[in-house]
Amino acid sequence: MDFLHFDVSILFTWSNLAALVIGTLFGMLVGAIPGMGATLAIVLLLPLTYIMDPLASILLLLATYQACEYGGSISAIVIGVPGTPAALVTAWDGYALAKQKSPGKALAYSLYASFIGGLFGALVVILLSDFLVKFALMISEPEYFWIALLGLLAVSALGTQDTVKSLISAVLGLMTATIGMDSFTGAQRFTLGQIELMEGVGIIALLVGMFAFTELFLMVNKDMKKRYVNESSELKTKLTYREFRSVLKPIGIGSVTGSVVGIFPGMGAGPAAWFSYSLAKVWSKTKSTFGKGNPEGIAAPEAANNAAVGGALVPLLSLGIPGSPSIAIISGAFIIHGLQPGPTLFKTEPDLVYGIIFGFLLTTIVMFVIGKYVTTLFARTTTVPNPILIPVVFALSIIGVYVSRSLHFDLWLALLIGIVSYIFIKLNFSIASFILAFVLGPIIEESFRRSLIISGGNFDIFYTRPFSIVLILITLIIIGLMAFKKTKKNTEESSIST
Amino acid sequence: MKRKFLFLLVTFLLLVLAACSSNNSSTEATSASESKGKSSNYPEKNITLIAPYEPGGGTDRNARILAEAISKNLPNNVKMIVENRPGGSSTVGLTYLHNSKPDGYTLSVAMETGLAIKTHTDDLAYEWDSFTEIATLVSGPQLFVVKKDAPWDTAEEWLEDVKKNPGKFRAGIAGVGSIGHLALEEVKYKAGLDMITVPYDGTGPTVQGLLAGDVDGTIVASSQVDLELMKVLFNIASERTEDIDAPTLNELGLEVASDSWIGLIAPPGLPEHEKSFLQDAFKNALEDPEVIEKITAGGSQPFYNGPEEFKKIIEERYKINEQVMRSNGMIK
Repeated sequence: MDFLHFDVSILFTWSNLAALVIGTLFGMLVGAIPGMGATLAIVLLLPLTYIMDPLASILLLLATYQACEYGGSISAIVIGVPGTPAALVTAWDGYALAKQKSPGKALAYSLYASFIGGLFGALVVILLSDFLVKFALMISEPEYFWIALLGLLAVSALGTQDTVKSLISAVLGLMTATIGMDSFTGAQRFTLGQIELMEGVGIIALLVGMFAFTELFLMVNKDMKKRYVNESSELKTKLTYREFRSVLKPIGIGSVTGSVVGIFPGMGAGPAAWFSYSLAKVWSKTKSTFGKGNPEGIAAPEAANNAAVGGALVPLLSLGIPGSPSIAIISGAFIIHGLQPGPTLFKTEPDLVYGIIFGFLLTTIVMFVIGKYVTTLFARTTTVPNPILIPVVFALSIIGVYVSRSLHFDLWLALLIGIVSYIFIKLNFSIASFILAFVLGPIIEESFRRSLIISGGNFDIFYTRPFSIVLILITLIIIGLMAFKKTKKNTEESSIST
Repeated sequence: MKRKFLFLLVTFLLLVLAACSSNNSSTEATSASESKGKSSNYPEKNITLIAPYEPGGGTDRNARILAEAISKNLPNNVKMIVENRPGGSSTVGLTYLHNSKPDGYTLSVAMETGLAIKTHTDDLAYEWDSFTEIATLVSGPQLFVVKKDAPWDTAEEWLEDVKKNPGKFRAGIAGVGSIGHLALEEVKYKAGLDMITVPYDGTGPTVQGLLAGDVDGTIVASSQVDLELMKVLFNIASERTEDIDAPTLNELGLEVASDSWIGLIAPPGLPEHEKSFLQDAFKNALEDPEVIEKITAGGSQPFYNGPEEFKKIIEERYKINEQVMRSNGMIK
């Protein structure tokens, strides 16, 4: 790559900088609303790009995407409602830290981690694109199957007390994931003749129902007058050098995991965030406080989901294949301008491509600067009394569900899911296991069936490819370790009781 | 600080309102139509154009280009607003249209998949001939591509090789019942080929599968062809495309010509006045040089036909697809 010959001054025009700032502000605001994510924010801005020049329009959308991934953590931390699958794990430690100690600190951990993760992802795009693309083409269907299976295994390792109930939730999640059109035969599965269920249960309706509605029900149940934070000093989005250093390791884990997982279409920011959360927990010195407000549990997934943005951009620029749904819409913005992302574009429009890559680096910096000011305002949400906060969040959630697919059906579905999930939470079932299984289920099913079609029905394909063997070994080691720990714990317990 | 927060809240709500305005328009359209205005004043309010696919894709892009151009020339200061209602390979959006009022304020773009393929395989509220056809708008090529380092350089070589080795070639498709899938099945049927079909979820993953070597070939639109990575063997459409040098199957002696077209339809029973108004509006837009430039930049070309021809095209495709799908057991 000859990115060293790029004239950086192309980037610093008023229209490009304005695009970065507008995209960042917009993305952060939309991302902070439960149920509204990056794809929606980008779609809303897409019509604007028709009249803008190509570089500014792509930068606008990339800045939106980047900021939206960070914004998703805001509602997760401040009100405990993750708006995207990626923010799911952020909510555990983020909400706990915000409630117990300081919402400002919790948001600051997220912002710093998102910034470094995003920066890392951008550097990966600049320096490692060629290598990663070759790697991505060596990984295919059988490996997807094993990775997703590994993810399911991680589910059982993810902060659950009751393994049996967690497994029941995971199986229910897998079952729910089968609803919709079978993508191999076109047959309808469990749709009850509802055309709204053809594409399956909407992920936004599910997330809002399971997390936003249940959280609101729980809030109503508790002391309505309770306020968590009274001191305004706890609202500042700032970290000391020491605090920052303490989360460098999870940020590193998240950045690497995020940018690697991000390059695979179909995986995306969600699994990237969960994998890095699990890894950060395994390698942490303070494992026991995970889920109870450990800053490491915020830093790892937040670094990962922003690093995944860069990861998803790699296959688009190198192969013309969008690495995530949001990038797919951004690739539409390329085509509107008669540009087709891919290796040819590097040759025909090098200034544009390098402008995008270096501009992408800038999106993270703009996000950090704006984030520092805007986030402090969001942190104030925790000081809003519940009788005001609850109806506002409720209204925003409903709007979020509706605009995601424009289906009234989804509103009723979300309400139903909310009520059922509320009962499940009261019975100590893990709704997180449900969601993780729901997202991973289709990957497992489709990659399994597609592998067999590719191999002509021969099962050898699952254990004869080098990367598959590596993944099988990792899976076996994890199962072994888990079994070992369990027996060790059991013998300890029995020796104590005797 | 309190005031700052209030300000934030207000911006929030404004944003949300902005986010919903595009979706509200359709409900407004149906409610306002209760008071039946005289059709001679049509259009009196904004017209909703449904794009039954995800935003950012080819159908959505072309719909937006045309809606923007038409909005400029509509009387009474009204606009045409694109609304995405994706799902079920466009059947969710088309079902919504089918249930809408035929007052000319709710229209949809549609492709062969929703009208002449899914009507065979799915249990839908509408049939291929249920709607009011207005016009065809754009069409695009369907290009059969293989990897850059694949052993075939021409369509003849490929055809010969696949015939010699039945059941070996793996073709990726972007979805069961997609236009590309049916086009491929038609090639198999007419040329007597035996190959494996591997379904993917969308064009992106299919191309990834091609480049990773999981499948040997697939069908893409011209905006997805990168000649650094792949070779184009032939074009399944009826005519050659300007930007990419590939023969059509007709030139090769096969009777297969499947264009990837986009047409404009309205709910059943649209009055004649509205129909001809819309037909003219779209016809004029398709002759606008700026529109032509935008459409061709995205790899499609203007393809105008009036209502009768449009209906004939749907009927013809419906019949061919029936034949092809019966032959391979997709329908009984």
